[in-house]
Amino acid sequence: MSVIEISSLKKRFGKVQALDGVDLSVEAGEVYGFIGPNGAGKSTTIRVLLGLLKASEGTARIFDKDVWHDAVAIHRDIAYVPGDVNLWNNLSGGEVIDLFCRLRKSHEHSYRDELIERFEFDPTKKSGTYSKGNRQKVALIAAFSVAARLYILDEPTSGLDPLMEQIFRQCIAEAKARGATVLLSSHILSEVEQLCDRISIIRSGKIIDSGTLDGMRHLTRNHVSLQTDAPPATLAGLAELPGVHHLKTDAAGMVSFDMDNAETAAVLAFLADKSIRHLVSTPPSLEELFMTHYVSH
Amino acid sequence: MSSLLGTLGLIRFILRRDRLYLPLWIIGLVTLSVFFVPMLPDMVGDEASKQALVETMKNPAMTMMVGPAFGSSYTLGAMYAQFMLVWVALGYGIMNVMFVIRHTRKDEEEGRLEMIGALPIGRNANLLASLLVILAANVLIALLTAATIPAFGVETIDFTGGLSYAFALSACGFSFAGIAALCSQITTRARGALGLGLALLGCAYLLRAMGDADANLELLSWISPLGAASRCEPFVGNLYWPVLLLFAEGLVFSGLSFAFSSARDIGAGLLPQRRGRAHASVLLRGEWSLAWRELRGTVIAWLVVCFVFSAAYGSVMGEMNAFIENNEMYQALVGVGGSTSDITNPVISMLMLIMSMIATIPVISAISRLRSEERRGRLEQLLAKPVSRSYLFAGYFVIAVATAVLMMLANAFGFWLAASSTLSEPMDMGLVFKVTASYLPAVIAFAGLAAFLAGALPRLISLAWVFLVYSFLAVYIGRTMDLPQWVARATPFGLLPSYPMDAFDWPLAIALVGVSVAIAALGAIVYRQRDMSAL
Ligand SMILES: Nc1ncnc2c1ncn2[C@@H]1O[C@H](COP(=O)(O)OP(=O)(O)O)[C@@H](O)[C@H]1O
Ligand SMILES: [Mg+2]
Repeated sequence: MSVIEISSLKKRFGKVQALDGVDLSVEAGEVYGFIGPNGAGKSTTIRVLLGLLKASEGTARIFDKDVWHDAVAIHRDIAYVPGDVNLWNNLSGGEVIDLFCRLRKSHEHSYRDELIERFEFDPTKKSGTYSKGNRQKVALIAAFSVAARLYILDEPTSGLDPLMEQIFRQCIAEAKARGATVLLSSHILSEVEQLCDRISIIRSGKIIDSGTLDGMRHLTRNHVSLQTDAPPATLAGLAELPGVHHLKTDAAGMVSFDMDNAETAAVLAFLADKSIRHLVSTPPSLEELFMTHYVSH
Repeated sequence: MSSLLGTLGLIRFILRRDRLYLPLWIIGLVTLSVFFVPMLPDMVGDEASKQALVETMKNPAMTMMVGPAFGSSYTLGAMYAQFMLVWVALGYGIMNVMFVIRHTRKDEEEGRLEMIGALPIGRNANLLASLLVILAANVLIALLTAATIPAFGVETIDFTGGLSYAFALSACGFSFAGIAALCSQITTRARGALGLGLALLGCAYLLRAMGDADANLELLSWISPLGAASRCEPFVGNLYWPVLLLFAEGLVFSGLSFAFSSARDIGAGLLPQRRGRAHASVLLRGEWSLAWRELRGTVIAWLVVCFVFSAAYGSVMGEMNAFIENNEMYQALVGVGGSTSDITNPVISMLMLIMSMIATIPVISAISRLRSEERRGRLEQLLAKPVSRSYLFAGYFVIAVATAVLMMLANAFGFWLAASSTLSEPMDMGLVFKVTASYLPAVIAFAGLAAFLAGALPRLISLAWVFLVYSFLAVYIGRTMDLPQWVARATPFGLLPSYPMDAFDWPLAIALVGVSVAIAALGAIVYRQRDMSAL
């Protein structure tokens, strides 16, 4: 059974079609990345999952319960960190953390003090004086203080410094080790690349690609660079091969191009007798994947 | 003067941001200032009823409530100025305080000034731009009001008097703009600055109430901008130097705010930030206790306001009695089988009516908080926890109703204590409490209305405020002068009988509370069904 199951989800705000048929399914125990440019519909999807917005069409279920009708029951087992954490100015950070833990009806927030220490957080300041990063820490500490079955995190690290981001990654790893499921929306692609088992890319309210990172790479191109002792003319046919793009040759004999993964065998066969001294083939980073999706569409 | 560089650009920016807000305030205040002029002759009626009204307006309770009557012949103009000026000036004060804080501390708290500060713009330019815009707005309001008033062609309400009336109001408003600019230097939170500014407005009202009630304390009335404004004697003496005094006060306060603003960091206030606690107390454990924690300061502050204002009103009862004893017309009334209470009861009823409306302010503001929490995106986090929307909604409604009861208790106690201390024998406690309680259903009705709006029509929540202002004017004027009955009866306060002159109408009171709870429940039902949105 999937932990999150969304199908043909649509959400309209007046004239704006924010979600235009989103399908998503997150399995138990996985860390799922949800990426897309600003305004693509990530937060809207998450707000529908939390029962804050009512879907215009389609269904969304968590733990096999309807996200709108069974919101309160579902929320007993989830933790949420919004991208924009708005706190109560007259409460201190420590008070907000305790309140959030208590609202989740949990009396064992055993990780609280440990997390406050790891995130180097001062809980005695009034919330109004915290920076964006510190407000995010409040939400993160509250979220990870109580063990949840599902963590829904909407760009949770956009205000954190690299050290704190590292702590955040550890928290995700620990949650995963406990068997929890994580839905992580982010635009920090290295973070997603490092943490997530599967990924969906959303654009203009539609999921345009999903799967494992490896799976996505199979459908795309690798970047190849090689050096040869043979005279440049012998490589002349390379540019004509199907699946070779952006071929560049420099004076020192360095050749580089992008290669459709499906054509790998044919390209290697062509290169076999061309006195190749060395060859490096790099899979695209998530960033490059992302860019190809947005540039080519 | 480099700290003021860019002021012109910012003025344009403010005008653009407020292209709706400012005109609405201007039209609203001009309308409020002149609205009753054309109706005045009808409201006052024939010579006999005019004489009765003169007696009413000259009694000490009225003087304490709205200021003294000026001039030996009490003309329509003199009556209009006495009857309206202080109340309307409160409206001007609120507008000025809200505008200045919105453009100074609020922008600073929300980080907008930081972005502006990074542009080649002086550090005091925003403060100056805000003050110049509000100054211009005040002058514009005064000119429009002065131009409108003679157009109605009401006897003794002429252009010269209108000009004096209009500038008294605007100058008083501007002095509060200066006070607000100072407040926004002191606290770091816009909400705190607004509270402080409005509290000072309340103090100004109390000062002038004390100064007007007792000739030995008249200096207090001069210290209060509201008192100074009524001392322009519009339509009577048409004095101008109080206007100059008030504008000068506004400029002095503005000047001080520049000095403080230059001396501090952006985002900082003059009051130091206190540290909070590392752990939440056991009391802060659920959505209701969070709501209470958010509203506690407001509720306590308004309890003090209600108690102090009621006590001020109550303290006039002693003078009321002396006034009745020395007044031939009243004595004649008492002589023909009436009793002193025939004259004091309507006064108590009126004073408690006004206090009930003041008590309604924190009630509406408690429920509006539910909406502003949503707008600020805080509910998003709360509702992502196992928190039911109905429970959250009910929490705010229950707190609002409890607030209503607390405020009314403070009103009754304050009034009774002060009245008893100025009278030779203690005031009838039961009477004061019953009069106060007779208005409670109306206050609860406003809780119901606000809850309905917060749930079902969140963007229109300010209609509750508009309706409260309407109720105040309709009932206050309707009780003293002749207005068509429906004008007051369209409001919860006007619908209820004027106890103790009329018998208390239990079925009506129960029905009013029942309807209030029902519309609040309707609000809750829609609230469960709708999107939570910051927009
Ligand atoms: N409450 C709302 N009312 C109207 N439009 C909205 C609302 N919330 C989001 N939108 C619009 O929906 C689209 C998706 O927004 P969002 O989900 O916040 O994007 P993301 O989180 O991916 O940056 C945007 O075009 C945004 O302007
Ligand atoms: Mg977003």
